Amino acid sequence: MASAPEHGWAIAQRIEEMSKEALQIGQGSLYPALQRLEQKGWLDSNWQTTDQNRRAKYYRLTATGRRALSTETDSWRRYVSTVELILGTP
Amino acid sequence: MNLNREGFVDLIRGWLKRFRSLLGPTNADRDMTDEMAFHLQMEVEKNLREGMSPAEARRTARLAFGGVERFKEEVRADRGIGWINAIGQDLRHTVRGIRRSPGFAAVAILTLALGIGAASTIFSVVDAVVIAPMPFEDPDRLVSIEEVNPEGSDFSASDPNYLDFRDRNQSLVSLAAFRLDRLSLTGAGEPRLVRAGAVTHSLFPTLGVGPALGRSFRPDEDQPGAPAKVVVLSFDLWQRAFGGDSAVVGRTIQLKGQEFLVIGVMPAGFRFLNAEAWLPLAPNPSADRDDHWLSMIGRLRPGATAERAQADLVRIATQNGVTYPASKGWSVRVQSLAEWAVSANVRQSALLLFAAVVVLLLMACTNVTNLLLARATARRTELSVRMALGAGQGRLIRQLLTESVVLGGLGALAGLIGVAWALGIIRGLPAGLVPRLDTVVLNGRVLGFATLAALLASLGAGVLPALQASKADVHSTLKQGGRSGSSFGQHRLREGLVIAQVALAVILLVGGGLMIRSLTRLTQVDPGFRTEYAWTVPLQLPTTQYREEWQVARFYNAVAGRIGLIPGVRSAGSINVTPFSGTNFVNDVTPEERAAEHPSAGYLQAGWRIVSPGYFESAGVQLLKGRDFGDGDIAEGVGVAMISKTLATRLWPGQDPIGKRLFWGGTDGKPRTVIGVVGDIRDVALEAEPAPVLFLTTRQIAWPEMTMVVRTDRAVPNLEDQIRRAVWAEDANLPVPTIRAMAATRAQAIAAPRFTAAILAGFAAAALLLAVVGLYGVLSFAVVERTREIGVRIALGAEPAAVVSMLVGRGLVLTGIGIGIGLIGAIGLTRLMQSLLYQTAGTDPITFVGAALVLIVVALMAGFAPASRAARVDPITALRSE
Repeated sequence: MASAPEHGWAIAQRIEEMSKEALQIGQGSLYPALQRLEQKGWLDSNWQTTDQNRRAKYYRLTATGRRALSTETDSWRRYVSTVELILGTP
Repeated sequence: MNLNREGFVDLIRGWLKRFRSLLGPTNADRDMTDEMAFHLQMEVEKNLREGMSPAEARRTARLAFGGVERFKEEVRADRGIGWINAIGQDLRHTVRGIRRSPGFAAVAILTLALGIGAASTIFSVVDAVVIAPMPFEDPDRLVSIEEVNPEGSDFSASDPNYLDFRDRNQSLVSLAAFRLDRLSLTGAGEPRLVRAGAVTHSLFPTLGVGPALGRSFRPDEDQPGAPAKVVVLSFDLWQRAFGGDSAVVGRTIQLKGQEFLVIGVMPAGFRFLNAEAWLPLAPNPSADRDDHWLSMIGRLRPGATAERAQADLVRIATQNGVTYPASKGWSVRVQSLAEWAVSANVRQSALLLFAAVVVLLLMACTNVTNLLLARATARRTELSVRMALGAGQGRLIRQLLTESVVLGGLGALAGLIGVAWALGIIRGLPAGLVPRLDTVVLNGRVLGFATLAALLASLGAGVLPALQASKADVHSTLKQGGRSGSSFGQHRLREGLVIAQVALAVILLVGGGLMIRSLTRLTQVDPGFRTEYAWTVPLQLPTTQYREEWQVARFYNAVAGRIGLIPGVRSAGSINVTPFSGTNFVNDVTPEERAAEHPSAGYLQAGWRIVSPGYFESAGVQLLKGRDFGDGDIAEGVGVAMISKTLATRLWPGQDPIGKRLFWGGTDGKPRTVIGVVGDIRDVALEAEPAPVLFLTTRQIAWPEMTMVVRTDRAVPNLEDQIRRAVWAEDANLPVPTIRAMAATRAQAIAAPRFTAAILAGFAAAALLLAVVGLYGVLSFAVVERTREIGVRIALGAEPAAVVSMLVGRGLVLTGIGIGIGLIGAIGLTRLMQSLLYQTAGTDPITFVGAALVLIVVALMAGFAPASRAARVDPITALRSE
């Protein structure tokens, strides 16, 4: 989604792939999360037709969302490295 | 937050989406459904591609997704401004629910309407009478001041005492004096009597109210001996008699036969003692200190309290007691104007009614709670299904509470219609029944109260059922196949509520019963005269035309003679105090032989009346001893007096009073000879013990303001017209006398307790009805729930009679417990109303036993119908039904 608009199912597939199925949460829980991001103005959505000519709702990262993504990624990385420091990982 | 323009646009877009989803919740919902359906479709297709069978593909897709409805619910909760949305949804559910069971809704709404309506009506009375501030500036700083005689009763002030208080006090900014008078107003349409206040010029500044038109009195207009002939009109009189013409200021009008210059008109909302006009009052420093006739009102200095003013004025009264023998032993009482205007009795009645109506509201709540509980039990299956489908517990509670708040809101609306209707009736009640009652309105405070009452009542009624219902165990309910039975705990809860209702009903019944007992005793009080076939005709002669005593005497003689000629009239006599009008004249009375011991203060104080010969016969007062006044008792002859039985025993215990002599007022004049003793009368207050009364005769003292008492031996058609014509035949300029049946006057004298008793009785009846409905509901429900069990019992050979007695017995046990609790509560609560009761103990056993019996009978009736239904249960159908 960071690169191009995607619909919910595709996003769910990507998460499953990227996490190598380590995340075993119901796919349905994606939708409340998407809606919350949209309400924050981080995502924008519209209905489009898919390659197979089906109507689907596509989500796109907004400028604010992009900025938020980098901020959140930064802070997550800082958090992880701090935890690693404390745990004394080699 | 640090936002650039683009970021701002994104945020706004996010918000717009929320609002759009608020406006069109169904659109957003359809989008969500479509989106999730698309997701599942894609997942199924992916699974199919991986080689699963169609059924397995669908199953796996669902498992991967998780509970569709749960996520939908979560999205909904987050969508838009979640709670507003949820409320909208709850409201839709509620409306649907009400439409589905209109009977339940009607009963609940009517019950709440009764409770909220009654409570708001009484609240508006309490508001008008007790809470609303008086229409004066800073009314909290105003105090009423009365003198207190050596026996400790409140008394009016005398002219010189008032002047001393006014000039020597250190705690008041100003002190005004006033008294009420009735004056005839002539020359503006029909002659009429107006209530006029004679007031010192300081009254209006003390109250802090100025005229709307013209000016009020100047200090030079109330100089001793020469009050200016000026008058200030009330707004109402100005409208009624002068058509609201502002040119009336500066004109002269005829009052008590004299010319008065109109100098001003008071504003519309200004009311003080219901006076219609005000004249200057000029207190005379050399008047008799014993001549008490003024009322006083003062404004406290900044920082001063009523207690300090009291101490300050008592100091002056004590100094006067040393200086002047006539003031010996006299004191003074200072109280806030609000306390004086609304007596403790009225205040207490209002608060008693309010307490009673709160109990009634509680009962209404309990009833609705019971209804909701029964309904929740019936809806258990529905609720369980919704929980199983993902409705959160909080969500269910919220929905159930929304339902009860909607019921409460509708109840409040219906109740307020009732309030508007009831206030119309209350405003139409005879004036003077309860002070300020005619000002009662449906104002913002009343609306606020109704809203609050509705909210508290509906939440109070709804919270228990909502908690109970939301605790429903999904598994067991659904497993039972939705069999509608209630848990043990729920059953207990409902029974507890019925007990509470019975207890509250007992309290209201006892309260109402006590007031009715007290009222019955009041109506049976013997006033000492016969009120049937007797009419009172108050008359007032202008002192300008009737300057001499013989003129006054001649007029009343002539009128009595003319009235006596009307066919059907047996006799007509006159007295200077209209019975039950609240007027009273009191003075010192001293037996001749004790005059030396009591040189100026007098032996005792007794009421005094001036009556014409034949008055006792007209009024039906019993002559016990001696003779009535006669035409031979003339001013030039021996001064004569008659006394009441109580006065006779107080003055000469155990002796024959006839022929004894007494002093009326000071002991320096001539003593009067007692010629007769009459029975005791109660013509001021029915509830008080008869006061000692002294009677003088019109043949020796003429009084310009007398009330004719006319006795007939049958109902006489057009009597009032004939009496009026008789009066006008003597003097066509006299104001139209208000002729009233004495029985009506007497009934009016106890109108206030009658009003309280009627309302309390109404509440008690409503409470009884609610208790019956509650008992009936619980027992009927128990029968429905236990149909199976009863069927088994009957199948095993239980007699129908045994089934009936089992159920009725249960009802009686609940009632019994409720009665017990209620009686204990009533003992505690009715102590508070003791001062409102006449010769009735707050623990009157007959009332208590009566209340208990009424409830037992009611419980039997309420229990019998469901019980006999149970006895007719057919075991086969009962066992098959579930």
